[in-house]
Amino acid sequence: MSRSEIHRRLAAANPLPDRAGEPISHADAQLLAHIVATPRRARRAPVRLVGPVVGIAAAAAGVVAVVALVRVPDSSRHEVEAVGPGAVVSRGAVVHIVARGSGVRVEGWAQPSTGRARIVTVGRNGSLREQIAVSADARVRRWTLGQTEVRRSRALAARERRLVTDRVDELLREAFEGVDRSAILHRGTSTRRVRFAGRPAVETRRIIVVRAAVADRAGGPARLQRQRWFASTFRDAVSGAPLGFQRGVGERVQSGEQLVVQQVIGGQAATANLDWQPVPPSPQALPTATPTPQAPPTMTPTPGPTPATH
Amino acid sequence: MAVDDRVRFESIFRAHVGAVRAYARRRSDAATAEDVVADTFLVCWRRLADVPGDPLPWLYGVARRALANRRRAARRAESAIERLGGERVAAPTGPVERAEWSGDVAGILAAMARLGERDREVLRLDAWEGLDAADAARAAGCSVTAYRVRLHRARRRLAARLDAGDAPSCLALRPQKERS
Repeated sequence: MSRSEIHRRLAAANPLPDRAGEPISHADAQLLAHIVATPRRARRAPVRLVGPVVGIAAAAAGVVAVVALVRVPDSSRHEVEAVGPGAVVSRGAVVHIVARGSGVRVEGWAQPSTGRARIVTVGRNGSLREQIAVSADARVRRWTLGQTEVRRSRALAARERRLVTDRVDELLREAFEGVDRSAILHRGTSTRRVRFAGRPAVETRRIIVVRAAVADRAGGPARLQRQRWFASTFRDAVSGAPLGFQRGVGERVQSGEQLVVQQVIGGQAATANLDWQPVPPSPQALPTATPTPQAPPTMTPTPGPTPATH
Repeated sequence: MAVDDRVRFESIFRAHVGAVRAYARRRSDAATAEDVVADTFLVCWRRLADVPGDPLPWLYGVARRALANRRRAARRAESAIERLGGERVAAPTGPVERAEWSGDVAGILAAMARLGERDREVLRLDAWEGLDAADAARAAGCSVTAYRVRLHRARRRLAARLDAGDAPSCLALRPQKERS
């Protein structure tokens, strides 16, 4: 069969022969308005500047190396800088986030250059609720409710790392993951200017309406009903930096959190935060004959970043 | 934000939203296609400085990746439902998966569905999107030489399938699992 014959038959099998030509619909105009209302990330340097920048960086690194050889190394020194989504993190540096919401405090560290990460969730009374550590070879160790689980999974490891490096977007992704697409009746996105945590922000609200089985409170059989779910991300109105996340049903917020800190840190202290920390002993693992009163388990303090010294 | 950027983005959107939607619709169901269109133009808006003078092949490239992300998410969702013992009401269908075609079209779609995703993509870029080699290579994310080689091999494989007489059955119209 000739090449032109195959091309002709393929072209005839095109399910949508007219590719464009349609006027902009009302839905398209809405989509356009929503997109241009979305804050844009700060522009990165054009790719054509990469060569000269790499050259300058190499020269600067040489100067720094010479200076470092002359000076006595001080492990307590490190640098702290603000970081936005998708920011390029230098080799060895650690992304550090702190989020607050639903009565817990989440703190996470991730080192993109090695793939190591650790996330801890701390309750109101300072008790450790969960600890997750990801190693460079995608080994995920999770402790929660006194139980430790270890799995080796690239997908799971990548997800845990993203929960530090790209937290708000990852929470949004998780919110809609697992929804049966065949039950979706409607989906849409809207943006609006709001105040979030006292700051001017842009809320991007994603909505889906699904046909879901809802339990009858009177005890009867569950019935299929329409449910409207939403998941919102909040970004700074000026810089576009992520500020927080919310999800819920109807207009009721079921869960959400505020991203309090997002920064890049370097030095020994930052790397130490990636190490697994001791966890409270499991109650089942301590079958003592004479139980002794114990203080509630508290989170082991981890070395945190100290203020910049320069 | 420069006014010029907004004007430029709006002109790109108005000129190409139809083409991007058709691209997505030829490869997925209607709901997924709408999501892919939104994702593609959101990326375009955020990375406007990277968008070349002729944006369509670049937009196709972004849409291709957005579709791949959607497929991965859908597979994860399906496996999650299976794990939970749930049952899917109906499988989402795209134009290629539909079994309503007849005759020659059904035969060629059935043969296409038996090819790998990479082969299918270069064939569609060539015959359905009507791109020349340079633009199709940009959309496929490879060099022009690699694109030509892929297209040549894909045509050869498709011809072999057609010569073998792949039957246009409903089962045959289901595409093979995407090669990673």
